[in-house]
Amino acid sequence: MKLKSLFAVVLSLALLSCGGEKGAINNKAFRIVCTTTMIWDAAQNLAPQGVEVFPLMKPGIDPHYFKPTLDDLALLRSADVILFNGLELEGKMTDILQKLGGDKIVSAVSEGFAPESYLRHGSAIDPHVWFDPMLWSQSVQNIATTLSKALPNDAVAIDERLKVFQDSLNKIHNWTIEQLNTIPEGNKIMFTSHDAFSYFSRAYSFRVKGLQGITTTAEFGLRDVTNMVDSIIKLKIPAVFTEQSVPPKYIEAVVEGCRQRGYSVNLGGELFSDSLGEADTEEGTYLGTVRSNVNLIVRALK
Amino acid sequence: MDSIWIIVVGGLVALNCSLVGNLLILRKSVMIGDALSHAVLPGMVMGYFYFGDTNLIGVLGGAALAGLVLVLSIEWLKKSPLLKEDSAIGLIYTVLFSIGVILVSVFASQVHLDQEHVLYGEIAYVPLDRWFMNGTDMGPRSFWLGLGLLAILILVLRFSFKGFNLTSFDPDFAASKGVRIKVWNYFLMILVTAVVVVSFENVGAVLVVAFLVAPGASALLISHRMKSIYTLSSAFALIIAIGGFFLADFTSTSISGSMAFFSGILFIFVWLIRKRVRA
Repeated sequence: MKLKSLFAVVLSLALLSCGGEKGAINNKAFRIVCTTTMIWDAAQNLAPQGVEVFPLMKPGIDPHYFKPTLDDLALLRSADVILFNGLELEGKMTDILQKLGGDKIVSAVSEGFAPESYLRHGSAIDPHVWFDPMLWSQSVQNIATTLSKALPNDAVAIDERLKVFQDSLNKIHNWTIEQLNTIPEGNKIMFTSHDAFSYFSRAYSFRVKGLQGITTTAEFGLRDVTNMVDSIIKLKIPAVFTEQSVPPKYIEAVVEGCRQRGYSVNLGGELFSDSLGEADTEEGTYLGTVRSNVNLIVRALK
Repeated sequence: MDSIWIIVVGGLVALNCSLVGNLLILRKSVMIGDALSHAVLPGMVMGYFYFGDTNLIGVLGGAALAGLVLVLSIEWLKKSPLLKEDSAIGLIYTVLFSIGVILVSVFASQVHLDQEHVLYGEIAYVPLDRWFMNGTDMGPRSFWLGLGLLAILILVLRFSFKGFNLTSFDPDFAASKGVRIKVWNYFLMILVTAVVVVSFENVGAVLVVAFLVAPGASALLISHRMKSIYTLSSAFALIIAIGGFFLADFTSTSISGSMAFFSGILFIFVWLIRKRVRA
């Protein structure tokens, strides 16, 4: 066989590939690309007319395990503004996003709060700030500041939209307090897959126990399951919760563990943790997701 | 331009991996690549803590060190007549990996620390991760890493072609000729560790294992001469990088997933037509 001709074929294929440049998304409108669905929702609420807002991660994606496609790459390239959570939520992608700067504005929306706003696990800051609406309001403020800088002509409109959105965040915060008050004091404890609800717990004096700790990649020990089963039985907790972006089997192991010890604990349902619900559904917005989570918790623990 | 960089870097990593992969295949120890993907964890964790989280050199160095512990202890263990190589690989990498898992849960359960986050690269980000020298954009960092590694590999293989060839194809004959097999083995394993760890950092784990095996295994189907195995596997490596890229482009899915999948397709294709093209 002629190896030289084989190489020629390979080379010409390679050259051919250069012609197939991906120009899928043409640059007309001002474009904001957001990493998580939470940021996407906020940016959509703030962005003036005619600005396109895209999420990089789709609903149900665990941000720790996000795998980009070529389309995602093209989307990032075409962005005028890139908004990401920061605090290491995006993992290795963080460095890449920061390097993308240059002609784009790249901003970490949940960084730069007052130090006491953050919860720490060891030396690391817990990045899951969004389920405390008052804290998320600060991220939203950051998003607005970034957008006003990028679109100075629309600064007034953005500010108006910011006020409206922050107002609804206040309302959902008060509504949540009201709802959670209907739960008996002894039941105010939430058992879930991983610690995505620390800020929620601080905001509403709710106790939260996650099986996996802050990262979904940490291995949990048998003892973690046993400890959780022990506490559930001791505190007579009626329900535990799974999370939409984390496989339910670990929490199911806890339910099974309780059953074997003669205590029946319900699966309270699936909480949204690292992403919002499907777009175009009730839970597709931040406010809808918070409502859905709170309703689920109240129904299961009341 | 992004597409070209992805193909070029994918091709470079594929070439590098297939060059050492060929020798591993002949020695029946190609799964060392997979073992390495797990065994690097303890070294990574220690590098992370010693040098701090922002320092990639620490993580890479730690990973390479753990990789060396793996390959050298495998070489050492398999000298025993009581243990076959596959058992040695399985034994040592699981021990190393478990040390890593324990280290993570003792010291770092609150930090995002695992290969996926800290070490493994993602080929889609290759065009974005540029190397700036005195403020000038020199192109993707992975491109220069891959190119440098390729140059070293070609140089090394050029001067030690005969040694690797002899000790891989027929170790008994080589031994009878007085060739120091052990030295060659250790040398190869160090080379493999370097290539694999750097490639992990560039494109992630699955793709590296696929690149180690598929081009060489496909080449071996149709040739048994060392020189043409090298040529064929290099060509296959490039075909996989290009074909896999277009598959990813067409289906809009993970690029490394598509390239790894395409390497399987290529192998089956060569398998089916091998009778007609024996080189």
